[in-house]
Amino acid sequence: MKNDLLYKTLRHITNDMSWYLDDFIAEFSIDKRVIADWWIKRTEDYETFSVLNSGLAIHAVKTLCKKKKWIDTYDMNPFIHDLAWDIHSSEYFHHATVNTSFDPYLIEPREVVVNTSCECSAPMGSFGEPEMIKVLGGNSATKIGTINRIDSTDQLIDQWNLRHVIETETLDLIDEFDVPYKQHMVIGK
Amino acid sequence: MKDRTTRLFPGAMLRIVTIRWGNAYSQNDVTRLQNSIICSVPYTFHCVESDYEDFTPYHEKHYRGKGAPSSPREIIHNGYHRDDLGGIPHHRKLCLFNLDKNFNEDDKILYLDLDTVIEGDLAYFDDLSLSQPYIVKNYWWEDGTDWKRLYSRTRCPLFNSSVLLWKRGQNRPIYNTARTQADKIFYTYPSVDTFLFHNFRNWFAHFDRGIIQSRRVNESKSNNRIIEMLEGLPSDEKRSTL
Repeated sequence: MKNDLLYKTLRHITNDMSWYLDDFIAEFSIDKRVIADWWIKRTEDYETFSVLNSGLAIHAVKTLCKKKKWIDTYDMNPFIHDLAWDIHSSEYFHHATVNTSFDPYLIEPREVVVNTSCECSAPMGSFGEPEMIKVLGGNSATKIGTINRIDSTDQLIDQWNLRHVIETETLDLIDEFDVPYKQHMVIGK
Repeated sequence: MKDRTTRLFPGAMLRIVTIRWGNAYSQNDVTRLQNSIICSVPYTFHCVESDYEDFTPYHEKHYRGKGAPSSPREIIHNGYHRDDLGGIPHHRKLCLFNLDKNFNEDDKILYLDLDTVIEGDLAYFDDLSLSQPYIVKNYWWEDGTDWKRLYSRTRCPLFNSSVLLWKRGQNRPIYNTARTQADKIFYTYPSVDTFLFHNFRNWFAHFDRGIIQSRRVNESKSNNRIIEMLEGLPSDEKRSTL
């Protein structure tokens, strides 16, 4: 099987996780890959990562583990826990069921913390140590689950109290339903 | 929650409680509920109509909808889906978990929404042991798996706070959590039910299936039904029943 990740995920969905189909389609969509590639390329100097609101983080985990970099993923949904562990069978990977908005103390301190779906959670404020690199992303697409519409990179900088901005960019993307949207991305401390 | 009946009955007692605010329900609805009570054990009835504004500032700060939160009929409000409006419009229920300090130790508190219909003996609830507090479980959702898909959304349908049962002080940690994390909670959640489900999932026990049913779901009436909930129905449909 050439795409082992795809195969394993599909096997779960067809067996007992049909409810996950919508998220599965989103996980494998091109825009998610573009977003992951964007921040992975810009954080090549770092070795350890935490990804919040991760879902399965298909592209990020696959790419970073291949480079032998450590990645922790956190998602509040307990029902994807086993799936995440099964499909990402790497010694460089760890997944935990955590509602990171309410229990940020459960997030292991890593060099880089990533949240590219800030639109789905409340602002995190001054999360993490000052030297920690923060990769933030969000959009204002009108989708169920969006509780924090992100209209600009400045909004992300403000919501996470970033004091030093390294890079910002707004990506023009198309989601899994062929709807165009703007994904605002920020790297900073 | 000032009521001289708490002094009249000093022993452990079933306290049947409802809450009323705003214009959706009138005093007549309170009287209707009180008069409909069937209960073969001693109880007192209380309607909370004050001392419940602890979270109102957070509701006003974080509610993202247009107009009154009681009936957001449009799907999209200010760019947000109706299920993502935040602000927990029914936040006053959370105050009950603190106001119960006015009752006696070992009292059991049975909370009923004003749009519940009592059909059986409420003594059933007094007989429950309460090693854990109780909340209605929407069994009809659990029959399928769609609630798992909805889990990460801000409205997850598995808990229903139309009927609650607890011992005095037993749910105080929920109130305290809401107080200490009010900004995040009211930013995130559009309903008490999802807040409780996401953050207190293993805290509650659930009434046996059939004891409480929802008319909205259109299940056939169970043999052991004690309460029918009218939650989620249009107000004119409720009015025709109440």
